[in-house]
Amino acid sequence: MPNHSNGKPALLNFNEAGEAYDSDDKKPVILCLGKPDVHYSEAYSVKVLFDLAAFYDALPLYENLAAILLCQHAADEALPVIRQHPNTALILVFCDEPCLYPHDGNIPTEQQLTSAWQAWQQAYASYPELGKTHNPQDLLLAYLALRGDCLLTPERDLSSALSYRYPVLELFDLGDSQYFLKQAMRDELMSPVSLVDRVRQCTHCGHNKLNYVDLCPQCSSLDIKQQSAIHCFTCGHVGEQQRFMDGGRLVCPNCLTALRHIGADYDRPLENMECNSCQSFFIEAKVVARCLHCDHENDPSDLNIAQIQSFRITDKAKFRLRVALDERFSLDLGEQVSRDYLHWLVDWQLGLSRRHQIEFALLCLSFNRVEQAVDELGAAQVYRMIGQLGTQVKDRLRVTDVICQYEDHSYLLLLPNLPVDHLTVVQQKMRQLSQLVEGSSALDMAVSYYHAPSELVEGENGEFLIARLLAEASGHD
Amino acid sequence: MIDFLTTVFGLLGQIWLSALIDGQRTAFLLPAFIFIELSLLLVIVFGILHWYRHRQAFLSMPSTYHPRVSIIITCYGEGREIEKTILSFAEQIYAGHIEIIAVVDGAKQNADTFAAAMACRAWFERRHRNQPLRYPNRSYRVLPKWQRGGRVSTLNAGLHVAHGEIIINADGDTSFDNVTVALMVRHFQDPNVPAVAGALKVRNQTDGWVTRMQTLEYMMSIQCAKTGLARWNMVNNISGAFGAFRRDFLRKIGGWNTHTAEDLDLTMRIKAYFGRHPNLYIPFEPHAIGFTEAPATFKEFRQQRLRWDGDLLFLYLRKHKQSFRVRLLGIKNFIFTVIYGVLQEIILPFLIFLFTLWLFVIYPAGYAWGVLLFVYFLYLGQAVLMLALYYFLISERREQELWIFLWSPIYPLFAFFRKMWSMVAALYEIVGRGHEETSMAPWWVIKRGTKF
Repeated sequence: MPNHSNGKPALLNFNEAGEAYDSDDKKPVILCLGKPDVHYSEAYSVKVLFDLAAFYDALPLYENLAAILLCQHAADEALPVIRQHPNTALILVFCDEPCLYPHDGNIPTEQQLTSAWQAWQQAYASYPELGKTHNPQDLLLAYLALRGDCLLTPERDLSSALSYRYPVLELFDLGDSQYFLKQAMRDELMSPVSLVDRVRQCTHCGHNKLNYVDLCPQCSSLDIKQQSAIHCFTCGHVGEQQRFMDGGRLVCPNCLTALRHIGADYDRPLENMECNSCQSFFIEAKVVARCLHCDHENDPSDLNIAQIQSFRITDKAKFRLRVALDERFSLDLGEQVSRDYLHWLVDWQLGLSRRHQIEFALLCLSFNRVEQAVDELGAAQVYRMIGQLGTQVKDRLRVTDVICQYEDHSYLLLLPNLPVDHLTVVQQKMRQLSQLVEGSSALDMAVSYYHAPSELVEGENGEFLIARLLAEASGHD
Repeated sequence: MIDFLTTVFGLLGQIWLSALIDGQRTAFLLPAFIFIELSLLLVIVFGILHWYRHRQAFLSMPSTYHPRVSIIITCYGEGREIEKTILSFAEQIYAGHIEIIAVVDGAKQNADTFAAAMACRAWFERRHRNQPLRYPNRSYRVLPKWQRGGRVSTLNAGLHVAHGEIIINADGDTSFDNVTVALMVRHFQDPNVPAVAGALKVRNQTDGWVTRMQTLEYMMSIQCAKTGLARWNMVNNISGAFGAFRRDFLRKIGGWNTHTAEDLDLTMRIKAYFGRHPNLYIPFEPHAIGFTEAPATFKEFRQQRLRWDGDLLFLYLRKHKQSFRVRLLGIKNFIFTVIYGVLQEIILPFLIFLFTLWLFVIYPAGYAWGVLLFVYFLYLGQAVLMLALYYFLISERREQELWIFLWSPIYPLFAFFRKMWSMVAALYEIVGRGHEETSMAPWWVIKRGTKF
């Protein structure tokens, strides 16, 4: 809580008579941008601000914030700021103005507000670790979870690249929505509920404002026209019908034969398009999907296809909010590398191993029953076991070993320059781990190993290898 | 009429008798037999020359007359052959609208023809909204007559639904040059023209000698004869395979009439107004050409001519004997119809037959053969003259038709057989009422037609 004795903005409290008064009590606060039409009793402390800058400044001030009411325009501007501020990201927001973003409904009566707030508080209580969350992704998951598994639904928006946007994702500033959702699906944090639409995107810029045009297959010119062509049997000349017209007759412009009888003197060849640029005849024009955004010409069958879906958060995501956000459930193994960097490192080591027979080992350490263990033994017991295991593992690592928390309860250890006979020692040590820590069998710890160059497989890359090790360790092979 | 015939017969009989008595003069009497042919020949030759002189003026006359034209295509068992016909009308170079109506007689029995007609709709429709029409200004409809009713009912059904100012009737096995409609319509600019006769050629010319001979015959009897005769407004017949009519006129005279040879019947009925309306004129357009399938074997050819020539006699001497009046036909067409229709087509074959028989009975074979050789060269001369007139003045496909002269020496023999066969047909009609055996309509329709 910042010290706001000096920089405290001028806040106005209203009593029942509508008179402003100063109050510092611990009543739940309703922060209002603009004066609400609804009257709230003394049970709430109503703070009204008219200036947007002052409103933003007030966001971090209240710990016992019940709700925010947006009673004047600028809701579109204020709502993202509210959601991106860690203090107010999950708070109930009500708004009467039309708004680009989703909120919790129209300005409620006191009764409605009370019940909504109570429900919110109840939901909030089941996620005790939420207060520590600052990561926008977790805030988003929490936002959805606190609102009764609210769906993440797309909305039509012609100005966006895909013609659809996810307003909630925008609220939390999560970057490219498609990329985010793909990651979230891979991590099993979100699961699709229903397919809303399927849109085709430019392969170059990803926009879906495409214009399907038919072009000359020879020179790709746009300037083509339907043509009735005539084929003279006498000389084989094929040309535009207009050039054959001679008074009321058809005369071949090439051999000057009068063409009188269809099928006997002439016919209409199938080619019935002509290019005005290169004069070539063709049957079917080449159709391309030209991107109106970047002018890239796509083959219609090559276009990227994006599925526009609505999503809900998974149980795994809720578990993550409840448990995994708690750092005490993670092994404390010192400094770690990111997944992408691990991929790169493994690929590099594999490359070295192929070329120079460099030896290295990759270990996957996985706890497969943390969730159940928390339920069965209680969080405190699990904290203790994980803490002990972390210390044990850390003691056995060399300074040069690389660690990555690849998934919530899976760790990958890259042990460079490890001869194959040393690997058996490592394996032995790891096996001993569970015996050293009492009760740790409840976590169902499993370890899988890989050693290069002894297990080197042609064509295998880092990502494959890691996926295989993870699968082996988690038991679903 | 009968009186007139007896007079002619009497006159010829006297020539005949004197020749019989004084056998030595036979050779000199020969031209008497071809007197009839010769008179026709002269009319035709001068007609063609006259036509040729005025042809350029006719073609270069500016025209903005492009009325809607309805084509009635009579389809029966042609199958996919009708596609050629329909396509050839779609391909017409004509600024106005052409309504193509494929009337399928007995669409139930002729399911393949009906299916082919339905399939042709694709040419006149758009596959999608942005596709330009392949044939703008052309419309197409199929009119299936589920119950077979014969040619006449087919034509009248087409006439009933036609919207065009000009009606063109066409056989399902006949395809047309792309200037046909434009040339035919050009004649209708003259309000006195109730109908225009169209030209026919043989599509399967190269199938064999029978079709080669018929090609020559068509050239002489259609391209030449009709061009010449039409110049003097004496066209003998508006072909059932291809003719054009002013719709209102056609409807007023009641459309086509039952019985066989409905085309000749219609021509006679139009001509029956010539006496009262001397300005009426039926032109012939030799460059509006329908290519039709001719009988490819000799047997089929004989069957076809047995029908045609028998029908001719039925029409002239039975159904339309009342029309042989100067008051109805006008003097010119009266004389012509008698000379052409009765003398040349019906009586001359008998005369030639009897003459040949008599020649061999009276004279030594050598002399008889000599006379026949003379007659042969006479007819060859006539044929070559006609073909030359055709080739140099009328033909529009000279480069493809030089072969006709090569085949012309056989033609007189073919013509001789044709004449003899036409006599058989006449006898068959007189004795056996051959016209009632037509395949052009089902028996239950024929049975109800008025007896003549």
